[in-house]
Amino acid sequence: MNMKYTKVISILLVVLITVVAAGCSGGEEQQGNDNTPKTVTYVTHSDPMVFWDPAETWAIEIVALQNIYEPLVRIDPMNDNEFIPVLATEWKSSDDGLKWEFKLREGVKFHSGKELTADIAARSLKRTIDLGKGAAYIWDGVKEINAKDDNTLEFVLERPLPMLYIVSSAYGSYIYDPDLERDWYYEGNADGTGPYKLNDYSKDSEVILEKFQDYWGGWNQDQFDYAIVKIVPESATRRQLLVRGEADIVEQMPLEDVEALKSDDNILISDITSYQQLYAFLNTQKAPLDNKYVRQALSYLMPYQDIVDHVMLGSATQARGVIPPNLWGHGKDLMQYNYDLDKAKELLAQGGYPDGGFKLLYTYTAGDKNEQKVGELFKDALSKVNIDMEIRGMTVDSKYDLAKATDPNDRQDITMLYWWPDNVDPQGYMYSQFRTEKEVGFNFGYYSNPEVDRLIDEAIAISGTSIEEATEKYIEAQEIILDEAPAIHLYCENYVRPYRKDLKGYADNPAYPNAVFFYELSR
Amino acid sequence: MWKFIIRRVAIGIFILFVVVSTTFFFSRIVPSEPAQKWVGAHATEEQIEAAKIELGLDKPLYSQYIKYLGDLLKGDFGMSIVSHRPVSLELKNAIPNTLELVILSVILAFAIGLPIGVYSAIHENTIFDHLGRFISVGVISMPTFWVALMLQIIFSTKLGLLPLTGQMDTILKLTNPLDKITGFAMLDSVITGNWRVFKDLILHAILPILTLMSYSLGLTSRMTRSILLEVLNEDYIRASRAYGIKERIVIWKYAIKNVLGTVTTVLALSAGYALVNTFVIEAVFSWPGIGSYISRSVINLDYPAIIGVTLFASVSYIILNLIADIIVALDPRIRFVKGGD
Amino acid sequence: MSKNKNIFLIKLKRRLEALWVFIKLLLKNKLTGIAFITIVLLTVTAIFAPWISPYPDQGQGQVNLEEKFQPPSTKHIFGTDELGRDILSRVIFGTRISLVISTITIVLALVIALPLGLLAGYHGGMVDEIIMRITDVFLSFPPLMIAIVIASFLGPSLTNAVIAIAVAWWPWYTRIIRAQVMSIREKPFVKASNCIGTNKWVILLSHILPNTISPVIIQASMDMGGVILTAASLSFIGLGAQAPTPEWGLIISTARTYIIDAWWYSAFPGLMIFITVLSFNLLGDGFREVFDPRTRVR
Repeated sequence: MNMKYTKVISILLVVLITVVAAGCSGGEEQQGNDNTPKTVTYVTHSDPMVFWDPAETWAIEIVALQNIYEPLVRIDPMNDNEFIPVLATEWKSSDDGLKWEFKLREGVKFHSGKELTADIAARSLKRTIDLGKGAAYIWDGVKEINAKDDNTLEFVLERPLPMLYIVSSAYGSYIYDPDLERDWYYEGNADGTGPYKLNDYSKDSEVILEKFQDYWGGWNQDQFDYAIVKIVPESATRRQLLVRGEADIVEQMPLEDVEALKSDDNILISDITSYQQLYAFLNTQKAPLDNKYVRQALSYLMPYQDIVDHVMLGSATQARGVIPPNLWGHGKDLMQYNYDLDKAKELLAQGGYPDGGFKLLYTYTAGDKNEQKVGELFKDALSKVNIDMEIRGMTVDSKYDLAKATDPNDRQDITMLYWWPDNVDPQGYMYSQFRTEKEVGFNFGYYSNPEVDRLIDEAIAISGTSIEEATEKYIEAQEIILDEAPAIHLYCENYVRPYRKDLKGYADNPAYPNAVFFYELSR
Repeated sequence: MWKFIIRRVAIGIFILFVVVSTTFFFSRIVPSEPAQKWVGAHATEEQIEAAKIELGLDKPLYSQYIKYLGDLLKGDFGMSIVSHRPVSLELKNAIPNTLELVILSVILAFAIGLPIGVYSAIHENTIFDHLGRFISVGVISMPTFWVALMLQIIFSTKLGLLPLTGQMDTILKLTNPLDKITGFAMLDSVITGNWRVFKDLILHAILPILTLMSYSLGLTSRMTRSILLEVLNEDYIRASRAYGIKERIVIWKYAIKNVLGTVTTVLALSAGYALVNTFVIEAVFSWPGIGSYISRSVINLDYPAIIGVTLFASVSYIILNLIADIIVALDPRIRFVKGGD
Repeated sequence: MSKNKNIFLIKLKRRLEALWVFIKLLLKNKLTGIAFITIVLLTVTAIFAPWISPYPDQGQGQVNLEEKFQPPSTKHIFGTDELGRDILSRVIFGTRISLVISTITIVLALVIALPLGLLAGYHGGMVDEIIMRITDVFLSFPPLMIAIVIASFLGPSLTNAVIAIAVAWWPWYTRIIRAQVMSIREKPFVKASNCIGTNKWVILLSHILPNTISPVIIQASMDMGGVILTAASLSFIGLGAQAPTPEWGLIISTARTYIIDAWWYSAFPGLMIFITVLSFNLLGDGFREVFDPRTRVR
């Protein structure tokens, strides 16, 4: 064989062998090194850091930010909606419910070293309101926010409001340093009073949080020096990281994986009821779904049980009405549609479509495997009554664009939407999804019923004073909605998160979806 | 010669201009609401209106276009609608990570593919040739995303030899922080002598590089083979053989020279394909490069980001092709045949 | 009339003879032969999918929840998916989709390319310059990249993916057609027609067009593999087919979620893509060998 060629080959071989050898020896070097810091790793499916300004964030950012920033109070829905003092230690309201006072904790420091005062707290909340971004509207109805003295914060209200639910909101309720500029945040900075401060952020890769030595709560040695939020889009990878111990908690696991993980002795599963409910909105302004009987028929054709069993693998409860079961406003005795082919056929005949024969367009957010599978099962069920359905996965934007097309006939027939609350209050479920809208917002059934509107408005108005009375109004409205079926209410899902058994103190809180409070954890 | 280079550069600039303009107008014609995305899913009408003004979407299209061109010249690609950060900043962080993969995989593909191609050509129609050709056609016939999945499941899940995803171990990052000098992680770790990190980086890069390499490898060996075959049929080679010059010298001294010139075109082409394949596989490996960036931007319809990556890729291609063309043109021995594949 | 018919028949006979010689030449190489047979088999599978697949309803999306995630067995040779559908049946129906959409894509690309190529080659001058500079823009990038960008603007659907790929592909054909037209334009019989004052369009359609067809068909068959791969890649990143369409790339995209427990779910569709694309590429290589005398000469 040719000399030069042999040389090339041998060099290549050497390179390859070195590389492979390096690869093989890689596995063993994980341990050792005594000064390795204590870390906890939470693996999420997408980069949580979209909005950086604490006045603007109102989605998945809380995964990291609830550890950096703190509100006055947090709520624990798993414990009978108990309110936990955070930056406020005590609170009281005036008899007419129009004034609230919160006493601030003393000796609280920001990561920058600045001391927290009532003035700073008041100005930060005012900044949130003035910017009007994100979830700022949770403060609607608040007239004034004053610093009465160094550590007393006063809210003056226009009407009685469920104030504790508002200040404990997952979004828009942070106390931060109002003197920092928006641009500073978007350079990738954060400065709060929380137990962890931002150490490093690499987009789509990880957020590294480092413990804040001067945290008001103090530290013990079992807690973690670093908390890492790692971003891994592939669920199969997340699962493997957990099994190998490279991850401590994982988010958004397909339930098939959870099922398989149950047999792993090193892993526990946290499974709690959430507030997240899935709806299929039916276009009430376009034939054939403008026909109430057809909508009811469709409600009877959804294979609820199969969906709960095979799509959600049991980690969900079939919805009963608009408001999820663990939120006030829910009606235990409301009717529930169940899969019933004969009844559906009857209703279709009543609606003038005894032989089906029409085609529907089902839109969902591309990438959402559950919505996709629901679509596939529904399509299968509809084919039994000779109804054809096109399933179209779309980006969130284009889905909304289609849903908001000027002519209702250009819009989709069925679209999927999840709803969860900003704070523990059913208002959004009813008002945003079923009240008459001039311009389409989230009422994707385009449903309009003056009676329902009136009931919702009345419920909201009295929710600051009497939750019982508000609940009655909401239930009455839901009865009408169920009968007219502008939406199919599918299921309220459980938050299922597998985590390592040696991790102590982990408790999921559905009021702060997907957030992990690293301060509570230890090993 | 200079005339040729100037003409090529002019064409390159023209292509860039067309790409910039079409992507811009495309992104504005498509019925979508960037303002809605900017303020988030639960936004009110007023918030969306305010965002339109903030993003300059309330102005007429031509003035948006002129402003956009001006910004581009300043290196400003606009703000990502999804992350609210400058696209140029995000690209600056992502590009070195992708280039590391592309460069290493093309070098490896070249080092392996070239000998295979040469060997196949010399031993045309022998069993080695068939095998070599089968392998090189085989690797370009596999979907890269599938190769990535299969490599992961074999080398990481089942054998546990290599890390599954990511660029670097996070805990190592905390204990042995890497100083940023060039932005290329591997290079930086070598410069600073941070060998533990270097080793970790290599381990993480093996699977993505193997995946990217497969296509380029097939391309290189196929094209080397066909170019060499062509050259071996040229008169001067036949003449050399007729004079009784040793076959080894004929091939490695005379023939290969002619092949190498044209092969730079192959290099440019495989670098191009490797780059576009990162669009598909980086997400599979959670690799923090422009591939992950664009695949997410595409799903979110984040136009400034899509356009930013497109422009980066366009500039890379144009420069690669330009270099290849110039090298070829500089070498007087080579008759340049365009469209050599 | 009958004379015309005779000429036509003679022409047809000659064409068929040429085709036969060509096929014989092509099949001399064993690899090419195997590839050719595989493609014939795939085409038959695609046409008769409803009769060949063991569970035709499931192939088209019917769910069967009792049997989800079954590993390969005699009942389900390729196993079943997360909704209990037989993967073999899905893959068989997928053959249909892949072959149909790649054919449509190439036809669509040709529809764009043909008039432009004819115009550029026949007309020359400024028109030629403009059309060629436009193709330059496209040819500067790998087709997959152009397709991804276009598909992302159009929104995810199979139709849009076909459009996107066709837009990425037409310039290649425009070039081939143009080159062919330019060489034929100079042939004596065309010049003669020109001299006797035959209408420009008649020359274009009756003399030049037929002669561009065979190189285009050959190039198209060589491109099938690339188009199938591109379509699968688009579906994989979510810019192509929609569930429950049994498109291979989409199946793998869904399957990767379950790759740890259900390897068969992503392995077999991937293997199908591989075999199909490999066959087309090998066939393309065979074509090249037959048509490119420089590489054929020993």
